[in-house]
Amino acid sequence: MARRDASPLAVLSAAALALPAFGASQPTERTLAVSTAVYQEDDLKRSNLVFGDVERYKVKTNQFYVSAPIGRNWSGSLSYDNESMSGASPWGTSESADGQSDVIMSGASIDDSRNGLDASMTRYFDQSSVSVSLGYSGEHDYHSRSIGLSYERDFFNRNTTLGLSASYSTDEITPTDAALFGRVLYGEKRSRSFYASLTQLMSPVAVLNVGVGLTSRRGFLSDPYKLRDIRPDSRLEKTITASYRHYLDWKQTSLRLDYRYFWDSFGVRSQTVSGSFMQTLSSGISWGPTLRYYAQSEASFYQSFDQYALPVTQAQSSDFRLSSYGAWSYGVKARYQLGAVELSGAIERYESDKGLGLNEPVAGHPALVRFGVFSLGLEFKF
Amino acid sequence: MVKTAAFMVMLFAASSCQTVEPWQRDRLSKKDMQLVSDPLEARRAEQIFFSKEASSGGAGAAGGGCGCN
Repeated sequence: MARRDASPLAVLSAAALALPAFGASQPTERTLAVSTAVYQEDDLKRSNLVFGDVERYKVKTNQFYVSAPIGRNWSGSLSYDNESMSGASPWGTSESADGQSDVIMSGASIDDSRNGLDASMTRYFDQSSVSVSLGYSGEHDYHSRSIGLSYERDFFNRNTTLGLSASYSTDEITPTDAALFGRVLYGEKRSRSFYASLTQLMSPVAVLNVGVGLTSRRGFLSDPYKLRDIRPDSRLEKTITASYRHYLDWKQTSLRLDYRYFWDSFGVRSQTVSGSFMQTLSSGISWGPTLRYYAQSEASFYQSFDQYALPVTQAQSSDFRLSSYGAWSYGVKARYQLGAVELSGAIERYESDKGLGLNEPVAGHPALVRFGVFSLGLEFKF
Repeated sequence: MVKTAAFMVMLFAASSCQTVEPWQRDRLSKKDMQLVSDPLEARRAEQIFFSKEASSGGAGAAGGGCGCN
């Protein structure tokens, strides 16, 4: 037995076990990545505008990521995002002459930026790992701080991995021009989140992951920039997810499928299905299409237009994000591998439509968003 | 919801999985076979969908929010 343990096969097995294939194992390489992206929403139709500007949000994003093994049993990672936003956003809705809803927009002078920072440290044990993460996201009127803890445990020779994680966050908002527009002066929110997942290797070319999530938010959950937006002060969100990855040898292609079912105490439920192919060509180029389908029902307190006759203690919102709608997004991405450096680019288009919603046909919100995203990235492994 | 959960459990249980030996995992280790293949892309997409849709979560315990939602 001792001789067989020392065989090249055993050594190879030990090395292969260290591969980062869904196990709680320490990464073997350092990764440095940067990315830049532009997000641009389509203009609002002028015929649906009551007041304000039709030019909607444009967001420029720069991102940085680094991760590295530390010593024999640790690893660390750091992510930084910077976003600069400009454009107009919906303030409210009113009833038009034909009974439909029209949109009141802000001016296009909104100009803001957001900085996000996340850091995590992971300790690896024989069959498990424990991670601690800290996060911060800051805008001039919004600050969010979070802490997370996660645990992974391998079973059955690393064919099965159990993942458990929990997080806690506090958010504070101090709306701009609060006195001028009669907005709330200060609001805070506390969120607790739990997630459990099971990952199973199905074959040498297939893996399946299923997960359940629970998030509780309490505090100020309304949008202070809307003219009439009063939401319950607690929200319980639940998710069930499944992810499947399959490698097609004959085409050197990875197939990715993801599904999420979401439901919450606001009365919103949604289905999300996304899929993509990524084919590797002999020239070092990988490419493939992406497709995503999303459909949601409206919140129980959603109103097609703002109801000023209702008491301020009664929940209501005409936010298009709480209406019944669905969306298709589609795109293509490509990568080029040049030694240890990888260049990537992606373009994606998102189009929402009231007809794809989970409720019966409704009037639809005229501010439903359509946007495009273009991104470029560079990754270096060493 | 119950039907969806039952489907997930059945999918997991009924899958004809086989033991995958360590030396058989080269394809599973490829970048595009990971649950999250590109951390930056995943963060950006999560931020966009979180700010434009009523649903979020499903990729681990949720972190903090932002002024976008």
